[in-house]
Amino acid sequence: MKPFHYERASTVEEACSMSTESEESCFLAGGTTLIDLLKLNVMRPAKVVDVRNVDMDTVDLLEDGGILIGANVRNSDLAWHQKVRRDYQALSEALLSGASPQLRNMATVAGNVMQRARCPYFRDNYSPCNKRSPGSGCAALGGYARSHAVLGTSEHCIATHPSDMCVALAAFEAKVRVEGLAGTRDIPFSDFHLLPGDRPDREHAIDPGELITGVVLPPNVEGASSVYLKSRDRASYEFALASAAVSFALVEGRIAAARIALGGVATKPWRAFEAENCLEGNEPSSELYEEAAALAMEGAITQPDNAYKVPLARGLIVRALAIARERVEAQV
Amino acid sequence: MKLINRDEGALARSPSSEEVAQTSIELRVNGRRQVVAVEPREVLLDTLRERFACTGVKKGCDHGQCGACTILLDGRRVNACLMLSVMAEGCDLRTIEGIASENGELHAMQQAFLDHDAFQCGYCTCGQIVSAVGMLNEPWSADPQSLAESMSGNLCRCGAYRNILAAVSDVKRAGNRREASRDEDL
Amino acid sequence: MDTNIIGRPLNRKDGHLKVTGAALYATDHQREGQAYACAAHSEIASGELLAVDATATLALPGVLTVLHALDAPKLFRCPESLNVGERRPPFEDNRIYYAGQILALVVAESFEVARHGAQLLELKYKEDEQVSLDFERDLREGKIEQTDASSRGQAAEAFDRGHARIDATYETPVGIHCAMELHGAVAWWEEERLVVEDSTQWVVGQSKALANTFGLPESDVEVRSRFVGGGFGGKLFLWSPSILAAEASRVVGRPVQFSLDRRGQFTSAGHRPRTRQRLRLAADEDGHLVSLRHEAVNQTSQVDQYEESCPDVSASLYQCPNVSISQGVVRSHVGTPTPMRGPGETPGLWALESALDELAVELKIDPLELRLRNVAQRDEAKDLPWSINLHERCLREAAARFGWSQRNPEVGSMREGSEVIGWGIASTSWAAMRSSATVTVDLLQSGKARISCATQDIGTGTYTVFAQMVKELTGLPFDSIEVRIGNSRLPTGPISGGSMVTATVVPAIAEATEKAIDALLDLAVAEDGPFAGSDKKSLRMVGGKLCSRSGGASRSIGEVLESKRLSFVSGKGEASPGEEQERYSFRSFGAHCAEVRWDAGLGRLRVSRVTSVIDSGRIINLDTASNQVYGAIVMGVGMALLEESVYDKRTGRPVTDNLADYLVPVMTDCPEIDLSLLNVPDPHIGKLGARGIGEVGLTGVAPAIGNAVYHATGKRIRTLPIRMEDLMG
Repeated sequence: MKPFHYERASTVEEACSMSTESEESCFLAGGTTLIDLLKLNVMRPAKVVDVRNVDMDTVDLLEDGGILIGANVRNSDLAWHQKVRRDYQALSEALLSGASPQLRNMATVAGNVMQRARCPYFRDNYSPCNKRSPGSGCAALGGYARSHAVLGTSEHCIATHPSDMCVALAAFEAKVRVEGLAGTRDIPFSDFHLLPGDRPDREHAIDPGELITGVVLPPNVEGASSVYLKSRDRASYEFALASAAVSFALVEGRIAAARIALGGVATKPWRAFEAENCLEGNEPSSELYEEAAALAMEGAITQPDNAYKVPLARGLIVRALAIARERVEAQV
Repeated sequence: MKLINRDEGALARSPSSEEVAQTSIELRVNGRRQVVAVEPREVLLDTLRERFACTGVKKGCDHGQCGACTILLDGRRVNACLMLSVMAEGCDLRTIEGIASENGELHAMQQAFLDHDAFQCGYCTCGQIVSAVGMLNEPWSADPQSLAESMSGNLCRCGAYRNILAAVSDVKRAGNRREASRDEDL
Repeated sequence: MDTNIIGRPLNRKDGHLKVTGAALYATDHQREGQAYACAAHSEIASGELLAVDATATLALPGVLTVLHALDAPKLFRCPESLNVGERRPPFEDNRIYYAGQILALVVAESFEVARHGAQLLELKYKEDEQVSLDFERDLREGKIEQTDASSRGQAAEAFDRGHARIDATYETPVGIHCAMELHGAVAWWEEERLVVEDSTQWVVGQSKALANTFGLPESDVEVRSRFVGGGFGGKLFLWSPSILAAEASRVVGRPVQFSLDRRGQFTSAGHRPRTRQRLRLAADEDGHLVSLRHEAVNQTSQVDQYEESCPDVSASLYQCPNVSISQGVVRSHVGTPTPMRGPGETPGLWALESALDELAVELKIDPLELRLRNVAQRDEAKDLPWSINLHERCLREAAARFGWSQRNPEVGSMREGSEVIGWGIASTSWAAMRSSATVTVDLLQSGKARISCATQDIGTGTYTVFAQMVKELTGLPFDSIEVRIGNSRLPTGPISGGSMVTATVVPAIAEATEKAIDALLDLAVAEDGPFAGSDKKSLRMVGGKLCSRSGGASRSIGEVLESKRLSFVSGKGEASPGEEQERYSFRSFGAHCAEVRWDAGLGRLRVSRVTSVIDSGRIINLDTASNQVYGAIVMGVGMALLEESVYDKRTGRPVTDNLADYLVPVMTDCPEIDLSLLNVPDPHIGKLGARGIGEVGLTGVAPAIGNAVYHATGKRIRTLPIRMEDLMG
């Protein structure tokens, strides 16, 4: 690990100005991604700005019935939060399916949003990788790509976005609140993570010097229920090979406010808009679920090792929709 | 495509270690306060092992993938390998060496691990026990599936999971019974 | 001798140290002035190291030195008669034989500086154009070196005449031991003498090998390994970390700690090699085997020929008149393989027991019944009678406990909700061996006993079993018995491998204890002894004291020794395999039944239940023995469903080289386990009849699971691990 300067910020303003003083700086919160990658020499900041003392570690109820999750709220605290368990069940389930209890006690909400790829060629620090070393190529293409993405890929990068939490946040149409010296803005979740395109090194719609201070969740749709399902080899403590967060309500027996987001299969937390449209306004049925699931995976580009992810994700969507319906009906 | 890429073009101009100020931090480890001078990049796991002789905190992977370095940070279980020592300033740190009571009486979790033969080689054991003690402060239910999930962040290659689960269940249930009887008393 | 030493529960001798963090493993030892080392590994799989630019590294404050292959230290090879991990010592020359090979070592004041220094090294290579990385292609091109073959009868002809026939090919991937403790050591020199705090399954072998490597007399090397954080075969033999710690210490003149990092474990400290095995089985109408052919090939490194003797078990586990087996190797640019728990049998039984299941389907005979019909009455491979063979009993009891009779043989017929359930059975087996050992037992003036032997406890309970033996023979309290193991300077003891320690050492402990007691008796009946004039035979030791068989006063060990002003009396026991190996064949047998659940919609395959019945002779400690088998079953789940070290075919680099990508089971993967150890003494393996339990718990688990997967899904997966994608669609 290379040496770096370390500074502690106690306000947002301080954090932003500390980070803009150095071109190669990064924020430190839980540390579970950063310190891992520092040790691997994949991230090499000249300065680390510790934002753990910045006051943003509460979950606040908003007037509209939504919540503002402070950037420093630990994954475990959010997962066990009463309001989250009741109104945003998929989020709680996603959080509890991620990493390990220890890591969830360390990792923060903002850190999870900023989580880096798990691609072995990104992490090994010597393979070609456009994300780590722009223009060097993508070793995952033609390499071992069993865990890689099938949606949102480009010829430059097929790394999967590893987060579980973000999948649920995408489904709940969260907004990422970022603050910088120029002010505060809320970025819609589906705009926050960028597709790799020809610049896989650019991962987020956040500007240098901007700090995530929270995540805004809109109020839960009346009568809606949600679920997060995750598939992996090991029964726990493993990244998703595929996952699905779904949510909907039933209005007069018809699906309303349908949300489907996918994890483990895409280069960013993936909203399946067309699948949602297909569900909207229709009576729930397994045929309809199958149709939506097929739409969600349309256009998938697979590698020899990861073609299984298409039927896997379809199956998860169908099952998740069925469970969500059971939950909706159980509410009544 | 060349298959080695050590191009460090995107490399930040890292400061040299002389340029980086060593900072003095006070750490509270198992109730003992000690001031240590550390570089920012020093990892808590190494500090605990090398400067506090807390060698019960093990380096099994160094990347948050095994749980052998689990400690309690202000009562919450965390992986010491993914924390910088400077991050622990002002926190209460507890390692396996500080789990038993001062008079040497084992913590109920340690005793349960002994009684259930909940280890073989013993290397992951310190992390398992500290993790299980931390688990008791979290809202897990006492059913076996929930407890197995609650302990899934601690790998045991000897595969002593059956006995570890038995030990953890014993202590968890005894704790629940105590809480229940306390509630009745109130 | 009284033989009621049967596993009564006792907390482990080393338990308190292990639950308090006081047990010190190799790199927990800290020496005054200790320096730290970190390695730089090759990024290419084949070629030459041309240059090492260490300018930036050496400029770092705190870096003490850089060792590398171009500045080759004088290290010697070990003789062929001594097993080592890699025959070629590190830095022997500038050749690169596999990705991950250690090419340089940075020694520094702190670990973080050493790591930084290693990251800054500039290694310049010349890559070879000829690289062997593609096992499948090498097999297709026939690059197989035949290493072993044997046969009886006319297997080919008999196959052609068989009523039912199976011809199938099975594969197992590279497996990594993944002991939680990394390979690491702290080494220092005391004048010309080398001392290493090490992590090894064989302190005696490790010290011999280090003596050879550094050209020292064996008496000048001391290897200590009081606690070993898991081995599973990976720490049987000498690997480079101990050598490099010692060499670095020699160079910098200070104690040096060096440990592989977790990634290094995937390239540079052995693995279970990849295998491909072709099984051809034929049976008559009644399901009796008439022909069995088992041809296996494993991958090995460029520098060492490691054979994974997969087919050996096939020659003796079942009765069959016509058998031919063969073993070959393919050389690749990978690190050298090494034994991993149940070497040979573990991958071998994956093939054999899967093929038998296929044969049962073909014959429409219950797979339990098929095995029962073919139990071997004698070891036909060795042409010897079994010392004892309880294979049939294990199969019947396992089936009964599991509820096998409730099994609907139709594929996919057992369901629960969205899950389809499958039940599978497989035999398990391990050839029982013992080696030689010397043990001393001292009875001390303090009234305690001390047992010494240069063996080690890798988690199997050696400390506990040893103390238990002495307790049983002397009646001393458990806490009064000190067990001294884990040091190469103690009386020569066995390697902790092949499930041999208990079988080997137990007779030697018995002999040493009896001799120590006898020496004490001599003192007791001597002229000025407390039982002067008595006949030795009239005395016995009870509760740690001597007393007359006819009653009367008893005398403590201390009192007897005090009469002669002696500090202790000693007994020495020696045991080595006798001629029993020429008269009998020794094997442990067992049966595993597994239940799997497959949820196609979730892509979720889980092992929910395993029942195992195992005969491994007498069980000395039921707790530690059971614990080992529970763990073996968990490892079997990993082997069946999770574990695979994948290499990038283009570069030869491991891709899944960490514990997040190479998946070992976590607690939620642990099935419900029902275990019965028959605990029947082997009549011929030496005193007490214990055969060891470490491997037999694992061999056979994976095929039981694979057979259950077939029963659930109708999919016969012949390549491990079985993954969701194999079962989908």
